[in-house]
Amino acid sequence: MKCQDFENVARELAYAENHNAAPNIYSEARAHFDDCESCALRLADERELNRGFRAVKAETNQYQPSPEVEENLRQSFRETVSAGAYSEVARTAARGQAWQTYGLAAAAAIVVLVFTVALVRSRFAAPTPQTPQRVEARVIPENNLKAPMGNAEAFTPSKKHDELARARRRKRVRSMTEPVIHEAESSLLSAANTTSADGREAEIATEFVALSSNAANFQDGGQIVRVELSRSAMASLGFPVNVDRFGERVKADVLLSADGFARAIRFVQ
Amino acid sequence: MLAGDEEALAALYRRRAGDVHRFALHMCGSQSLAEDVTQEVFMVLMREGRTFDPAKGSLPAFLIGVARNHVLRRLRRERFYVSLDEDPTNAREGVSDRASGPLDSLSRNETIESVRKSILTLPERYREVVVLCELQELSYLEAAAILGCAVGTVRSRLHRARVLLIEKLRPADEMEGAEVKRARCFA
Repeated sequence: MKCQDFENVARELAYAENHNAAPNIYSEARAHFDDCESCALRLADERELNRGFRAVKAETNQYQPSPEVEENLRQSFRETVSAGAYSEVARTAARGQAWQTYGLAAAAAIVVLVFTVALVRSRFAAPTPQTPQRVEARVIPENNLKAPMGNAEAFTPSKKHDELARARRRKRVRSMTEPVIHEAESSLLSAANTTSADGREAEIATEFVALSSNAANFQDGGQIVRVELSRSAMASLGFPVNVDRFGERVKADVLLSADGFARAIRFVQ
Repeated sequence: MLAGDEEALAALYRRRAGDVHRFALHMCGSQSLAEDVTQEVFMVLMREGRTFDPAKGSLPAFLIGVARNHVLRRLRRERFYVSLDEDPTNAREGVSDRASGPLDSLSRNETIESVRKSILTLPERYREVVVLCELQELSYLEAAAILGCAVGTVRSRLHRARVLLIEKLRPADEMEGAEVKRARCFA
């Protein structure tokens, strides 16, 4: 051990000696201060200082403030209580606790309300399972395909949010049908969508919506048939329909596969 | 106590007033000033007791912290005044009679007096760590919480304070040859 090390432990040594609990380093330090006079003096000084502290502590442990201090405090306390300050304090604290309770209750109510609304919205917004339905359709002759729509308002959205909802729903339906419509289908679909590109009167059409969850094979050909349906058919496919016009009819293109089954449908305006 | 129970205040006072009073006495060396500070600390507790947050520290630490603020304020305010015949030993009348004999008592009183005076001559930042850690026997951690500083700061201040006290307590005749004798060896 060197003097620098001893300097660091001198106080602990003196303290441990005073408390009759010599630390492990004591023997090593003793070997040092037996040889080093200045460190031995330093340890003696530390011991002396600790003795002084002990004496002061023993002396002052008895010290207490005079009884007048307590009496003054009691008097002051009584005056404060009689002035109602403490009841006011207690009332304020109780009020604060009540507000805390109300706040917690309100927060809990808001959380429950938000959760309920989210649950209800998710249940009503979820698309109903698309079961392939049997559509009673009146087949329009081929030459009538080029005829302009009689009712131009047939697909005009009545409200803005209807359109947004429709877009959302269409996206959802599309995502559901994507695995079903394969490459052959998509070529047919794109062919069907370009009916207005050759100079005829433009038509606005929705995208094709699959009617069957089975994959259709269009290698052997397919056919698009223009039909008129009641608007309830739109609703059953997940499109928003104005209830007031529920009985009206709407035009649609039905995509038939080679075996004659309706595979997909789109609505035309 | 905050509900207006006087006995609760009295019980709290009897349990904690001694620590507060001793701290103030060691810090300022004046019995009357220490009593003023003690009274003021408990007045603060009565007035602003609801501001005490147990999560931030213990009640004794809170009380000593308030006492420290008051002591430092009073010391700064009254540093221009000289105490007339203020004898801090008047508080220990009857206590020193416990010593075994008159000579022992005299020697012991001298030691106590010299240590107390030496502590009072320390700068405030050293004095408070000596009072808290050595005389009040608080841990470094508790002292650091009261003083609002790091534990390492407490430790280093205490080390420095002890060195200063040793120098102050060393007899004058020993001081003359000390420069030569206390040269550090590098064994």
